Amino acid sequence: MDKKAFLADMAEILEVTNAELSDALELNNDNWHSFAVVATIAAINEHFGITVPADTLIKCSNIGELINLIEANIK
Amino acid sequence: MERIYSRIKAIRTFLPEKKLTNSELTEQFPDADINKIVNKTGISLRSISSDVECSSDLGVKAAEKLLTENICSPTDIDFLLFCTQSPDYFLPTTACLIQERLQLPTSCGALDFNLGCSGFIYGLSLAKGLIEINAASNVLLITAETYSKYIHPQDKSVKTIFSDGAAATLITSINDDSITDPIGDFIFGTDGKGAKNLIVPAGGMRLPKSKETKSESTDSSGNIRSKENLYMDGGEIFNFTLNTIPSAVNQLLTRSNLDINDIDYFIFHQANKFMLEALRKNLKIPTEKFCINMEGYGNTVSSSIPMAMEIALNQGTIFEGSRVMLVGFGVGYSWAATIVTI
Repeated sequence: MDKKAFLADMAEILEVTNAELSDALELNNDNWHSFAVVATIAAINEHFGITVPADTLIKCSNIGELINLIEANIK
Repeated sequence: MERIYSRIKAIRTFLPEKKLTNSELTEQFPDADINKIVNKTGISLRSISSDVECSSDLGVKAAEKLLTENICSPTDIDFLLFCTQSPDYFLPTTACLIQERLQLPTSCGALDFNLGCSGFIYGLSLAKGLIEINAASNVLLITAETYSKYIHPQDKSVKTIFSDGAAATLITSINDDSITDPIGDFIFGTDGKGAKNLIVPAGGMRLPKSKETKSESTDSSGNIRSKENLYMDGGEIFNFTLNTIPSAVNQLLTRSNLDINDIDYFIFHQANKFMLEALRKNLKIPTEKFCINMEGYGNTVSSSIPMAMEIALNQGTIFEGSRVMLVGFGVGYSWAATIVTI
């Protein structure tokens, strides 16, 4: 599980710096649009080799929830 | 007895004259970051059929190039396969109209089949079947779509991607036991669970057009559409593709007794750059062996593979003897793949 590389991709997708990306970083209407969700699906597939349903992904309200969702799907 | 083989003899394509540019999209959607979208999709120009241009018109124009360039004559064609999801009429069969327009013989078989982005591969399999049971010698496979007629003018989720267009592919029989089968094994797949994720809900018999189906709504991204318009859940389509296509590619390689390194070039349905890049990375295919070429064309649905093939042939990327994997996937869900030797 290449979490570091995944988080670097997430920073790029959400247009924040690596330092700004924390578990508390909010996913909202401004940054969590359809392209960001699709790009996240691609990043999850690339780094963890799994796919996560788009409708579940879109419900994540912060990065911590997103990480938990990925970890639950890996198990 | 010599075995009959089938091969792709020629491909010609046609795009409507009217274009939709990125600057027009920027004007229409001032609040959206069109450049960002374009950067992801890799599409900068789309072709749009005029009000009087139907899929048969686009298909006929592509097929006429095969005739005027003397690649074949109308009398050579003994079967016409027409793939569309935007037919001229509910009935009659659009292929029957095209038979008359191209002056194909009345002894020619003709049928329509309704598939989207997997349609070209299914068409090749049908043509190969017809030829190899000796029911036809020259099959004209026409793929043509006018999806723009389904798209709401204010729905950027599909307007930025899809393009109208047509391809005419001539598949002929050859009797030569010394060759590798020019159209090899196929794998197919279907999962109707995905039907709702790429759909025009109204206008058929299940939900006829009515005042209610014309009612428009706005989604969370600000796109407007009614039930009579094309709807695509991009995220779900993307997930389906990532879940299905890499294993389909591996299944085909196993069935063909080939390794991924034995394939000279990969032409997948040219959906958009972003999706193709994700698939390429997943399958670890080198960039130089993987076709991404829809910038000036957009996603032409069932014609995207033959269009990319025609360009690759003209540019010399693929040539006689090249082993090319073709993979189609999308609406249905439906998918199919094959390996052709040029």
